[in-house]
Amino acid sequence: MNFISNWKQKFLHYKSLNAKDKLSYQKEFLINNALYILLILAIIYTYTQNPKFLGTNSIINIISLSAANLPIACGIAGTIVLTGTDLSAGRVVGLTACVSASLLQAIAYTSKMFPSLPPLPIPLVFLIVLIIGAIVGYVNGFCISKFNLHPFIVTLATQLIVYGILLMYITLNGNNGQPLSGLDASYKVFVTGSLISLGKIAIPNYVWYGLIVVIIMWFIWNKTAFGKNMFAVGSNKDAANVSGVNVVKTTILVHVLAGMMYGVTGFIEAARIGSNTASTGLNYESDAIAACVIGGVSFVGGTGNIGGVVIGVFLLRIIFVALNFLSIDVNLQYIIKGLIILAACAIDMRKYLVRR
Amino acid sequence: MNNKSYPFLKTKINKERYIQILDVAIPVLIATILLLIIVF
Repeated sequence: MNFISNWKQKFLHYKSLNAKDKLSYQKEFLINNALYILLILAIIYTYTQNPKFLGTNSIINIISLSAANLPIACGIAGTIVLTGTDLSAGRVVGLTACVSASLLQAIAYTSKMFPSLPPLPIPLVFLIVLIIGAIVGYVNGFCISKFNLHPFIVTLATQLIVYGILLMYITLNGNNGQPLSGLDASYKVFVTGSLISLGKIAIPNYVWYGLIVVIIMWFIWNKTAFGKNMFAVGSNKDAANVSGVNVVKTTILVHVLAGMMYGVTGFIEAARIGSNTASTGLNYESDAIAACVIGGVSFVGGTGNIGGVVIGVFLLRIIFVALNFLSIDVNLQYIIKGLIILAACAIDMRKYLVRR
Repeated sequence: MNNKSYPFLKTKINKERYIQILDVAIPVLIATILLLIIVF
């Protein structure tokens, strides 16, 4: 109801403007919502070229792929709110995916990484990957806040360290870097099984896990003191410090939370992909960062919301799927993705300048 | 401060000018994306 009355007020305000102001209002509206307009045009164009794009199968596919990326995007969004970034995200996803896969391989699988180890209980493995993610996040947060280092450099370093650990891990027990597959059925069912179906099409369980993560993150961001502190530190670190916010603790906690989110993504990805190698999670951070920027989590800090992140993830995924439906050259897809990120940053910068 | 010694100070970013540049850049970027999608 609040939403409708808000729009009503905006419309009344628009009607009360004179012709010149109306024109500039329209221009502002068009530029600020350029990406959404692009999305609508892209959807309509793709639909006219290939009507299957808006079929139930395709929509469920878009939702599933987006849901798998939601936790990592929600994690990275926190670090961006603190005017930072996290380049280690993709590699942490890779490490946690390989750890989950190795601990949950079926006992009968011939090239099992730990042959004598029975599949561990799923909650225990989930806890292990959360802890791994949290440790990497703690290292990131500690170095950034205590040593005042730039997040870009710190997370670049941890990215390399985590990759090294990942490479060493997958060569353990004579595994020699072979893909970790043959996962236990209970794990596969837990993640990719389907409790609820839409007609004949099954909705995988990880869509609901993505939804749970979003709800938890929304609660943390909006309803806790930690969430408020995070935005305060992101807007102005010194002012937050003077106001009594523990900047070091907040920064570390944001990174620990982000690390745990990468753990969740790794846990889901391991079962979703089914065959995990050292390249699992490669470049996941770039897609997540792009989704955050598109969703309005500003690199100038202190701005953004979880709703925006979700929209960003979906928007990016819809465009990727649309490009596939239009059978656009894969090489060109990279160029289009780059241009979309550039446009999102330009719009974000413009909004920031106008507001200041 | 003497600007002659610090020529870069003259090029301080003007907010209005910056917005004007972005006003052109954003539609151009969006048009390029649409063009790429439709043409190829």
